[in-house]
Amino acid sequence: MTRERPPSPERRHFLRATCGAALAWLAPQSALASAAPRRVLVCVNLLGGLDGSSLLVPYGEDAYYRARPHIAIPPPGKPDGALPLVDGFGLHPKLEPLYQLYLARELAIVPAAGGARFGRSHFAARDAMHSGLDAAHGGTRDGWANRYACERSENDRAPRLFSTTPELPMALLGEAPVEMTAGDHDLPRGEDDAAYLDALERLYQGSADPFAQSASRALRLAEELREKARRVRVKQRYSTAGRGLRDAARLIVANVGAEVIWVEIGGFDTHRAQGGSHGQLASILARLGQDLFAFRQDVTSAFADVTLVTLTEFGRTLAETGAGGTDHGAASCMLVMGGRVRGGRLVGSWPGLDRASLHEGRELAVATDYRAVLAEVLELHLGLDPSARGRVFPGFTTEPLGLYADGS
Amino acid sequence: MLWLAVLIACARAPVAPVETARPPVATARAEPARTGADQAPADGAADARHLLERFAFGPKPGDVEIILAEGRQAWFEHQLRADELPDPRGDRAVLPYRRALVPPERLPDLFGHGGLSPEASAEANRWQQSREVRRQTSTRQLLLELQMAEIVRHVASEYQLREVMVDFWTNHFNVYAKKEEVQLLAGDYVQRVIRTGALGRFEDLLVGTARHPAMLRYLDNASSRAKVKGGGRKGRGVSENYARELLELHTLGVDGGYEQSDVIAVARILTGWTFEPGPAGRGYAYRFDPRVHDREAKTVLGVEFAPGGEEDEGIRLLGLLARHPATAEHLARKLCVRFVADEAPAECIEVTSQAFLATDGSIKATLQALFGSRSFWAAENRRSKLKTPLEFMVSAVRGVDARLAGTTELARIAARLGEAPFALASPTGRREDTAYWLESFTLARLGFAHDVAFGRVPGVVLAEAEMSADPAETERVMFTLCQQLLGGHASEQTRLVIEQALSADPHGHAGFSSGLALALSSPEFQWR
Repeated sequence: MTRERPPSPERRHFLRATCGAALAWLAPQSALASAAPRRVLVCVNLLGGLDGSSLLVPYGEDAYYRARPHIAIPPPGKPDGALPLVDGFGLHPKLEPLYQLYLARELAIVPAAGGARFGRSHFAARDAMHSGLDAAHGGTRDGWANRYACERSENDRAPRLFSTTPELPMALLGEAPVEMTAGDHDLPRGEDDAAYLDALERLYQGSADPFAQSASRALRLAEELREKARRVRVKQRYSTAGRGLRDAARLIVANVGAEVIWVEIGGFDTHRAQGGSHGQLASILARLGQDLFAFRQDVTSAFADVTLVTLTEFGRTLAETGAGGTDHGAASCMLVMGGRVRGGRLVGSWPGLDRASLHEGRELAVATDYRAVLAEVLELHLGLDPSARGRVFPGFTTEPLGLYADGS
Repeated sequence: MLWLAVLIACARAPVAPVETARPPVATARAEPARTGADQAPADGAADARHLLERFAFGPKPGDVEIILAEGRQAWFEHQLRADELPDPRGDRAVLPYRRALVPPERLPDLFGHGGLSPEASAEANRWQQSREVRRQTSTRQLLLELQMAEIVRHVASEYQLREVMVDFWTNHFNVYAKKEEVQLLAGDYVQRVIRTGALGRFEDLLVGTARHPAMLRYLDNASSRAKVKGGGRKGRGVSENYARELLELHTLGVDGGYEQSDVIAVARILTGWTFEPGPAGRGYAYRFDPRVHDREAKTVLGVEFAPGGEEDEGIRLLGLLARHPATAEHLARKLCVRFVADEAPAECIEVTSQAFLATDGSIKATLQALFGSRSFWAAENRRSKLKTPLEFMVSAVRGVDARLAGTTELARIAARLGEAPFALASPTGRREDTAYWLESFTLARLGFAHDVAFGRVPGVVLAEAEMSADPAETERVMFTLCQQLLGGHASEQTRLVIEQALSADPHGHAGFSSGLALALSSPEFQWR
């Protein structure tokens, strides 16, 4: 089945000429069942703007403690102190599970990462980050992950893009089909399921209407996952917020041929009562650490083929606010974990927290562009031709970070 | 039975007068000269349907005929007069949920001391813990009731244009119910600020939202305090959260030409805008607290605010923002995206923003301009927008003319569909673009279509007669489904699949239910 359709007013807003070729969704079940393990990128989007200085604690900086009299994390060795990583930097004390992954050299941390020109609006910053641009452009365009899929499509077939969110992440928006794993419990249920599902399929089959195509894809995926779920079990427990990671683990273990999986976890917009070693953000980080660890346990040997990257729209102000929180800032930090990742270290550089080094005098400046991390994963892990980088991240050039051991 | 009967009647005689509880329309019936629709003059029913899919949550049985009888302009003008006229159907529909609409100053009567969830202490005994569980259960129930009050009024109100605008402004001035005590305040916020002001002056909406405890809490302005030199009191400081969203989302827009220094100045001007926090039986009420207000000089967008200003400088600031051309442009663009096309046509933005500026932010005049724009009626913009989940759900319940029986099921379903009221943590409000909704929550839509058609949504009751439609009527049932729900846009494929479902079960309910479910699931029903 191809996506050839007669033009209609209804699809004008949906069509985007990015791929150059019409793309089909890779449908045959038999082909999927026997697919060789393939490398996968899991993007975990931390919504709201993660306070990087609470995850990766710059305990060597006096400015950090001066600016945060109530919410700073004490240095290692003090009560409730950070877990020591390298000189001057520690991990939030509630992130013991991530500390284990770090010590096992499966986790690298990129400090001061983000988008230098994102601005401080959630909306604009997410827009820019999903688009793969350096600043928001306004309105809907395609996303970088979809452009990647278009670059890698062969014989009119694109790599499979999955999202575990119920709603479409803009990074996946574009001409290549997206598969949404959430909601298969919403499939009609009742005494005459089979006949009704069959009628639904016929309602959409081969239709040129974009909704029909989306519905058709969703129905097929739900059935495929239902089928696989009989054979695939994940063992670990996840928090409610971490269900997306559980779904990602399932997709990987089921070996459905996913190449990009998008996960979202919310709660990071900590304007008030953020807390320090304990409190609101500490609880959220603790759950995040446990869920990431559970994911790592569940994917077992497939971890060798996985790279997981966290993204967030921006970091937060260095100084705490009157309400015991932090406002929108610039750089945060990114976690990069996976079997092939050269872990157990910090990657990139640290701009410092003295006033002159801060972005506009108030927040950690961006030292590593988020696209430097993503581009390296797409090229060295998933195998994107470096010459295509400019089409996935227009106008972006970078030096290698060295995230991977063998450079391949 | 009613909708089926009415529609079959309509099918035979499309312009027959339809019985309706609607008060007579006083305005002239004669249709004024059409401004924009000249290119499609012949099809009045299609125009009526277009109006009902944009300025209403879709047609109820009989609605198209009302517009055909009254004329589009008269219908629109009548809708604009919502604030002068009673809305008995809307009022009746929200009765089961009125607890959620209690004004904040009366909250202590309902919930006793302290409003929400004092932390259960570690030492609390079992009895206290169970009491705490009951308390939380009741607030969860309250949130569902709050959401239901919005949903059922959207379904039942005679004043659909106002409801659509309430939805628009509720997203524009988004608040998040799960943030602290916001859920106790959001019902009043919508009822007294948004619904009252939805067709009024923009500046009143702006001031009303700025002062309402729901917004003051949601974007933290209630706890924003001036930095006092040498004061050094614990936990004091200016929060930029509301100030930033006020400029970026509520007024100027992200490209509205302001800078970080403006955000900070706005935040300082609004220090002291707070509310009484509830205890001591006082409820929640806005007040200006001069003790935490920043009295020094500020500059916003080049406009000076002299030292010594108090609450008045905040009012002046909001007036300045409400009248700013960037605000007119931003609002016009949003309205055109919502009511015309995802890529707002320049003509629409132009006439809409002009009307907004020329009338000092009259929302009525702005909507009249939009209604009169060429783009609104242009063929290429019709049925170009995918219904959002809420639009889908409400239009389905209206389309089948179901009776609502006071449950909270639709609120739970709205959450599964991805658009429960007051459930967006981000201040941006819901997304408006078709490309996004096309891939989002798709299966949940199909699940709802199925459940509502098979009578499996408690509290959403289909009329008896349809459930046992006579198989001999298949052809007419088909016609009804396709005409009423799909506006005559059903493709051959859709017709065929529905017809097969109807004829597969010639002697029971299941055939009709399947046919209805498939019609609601059809691609044609998803567009507006």
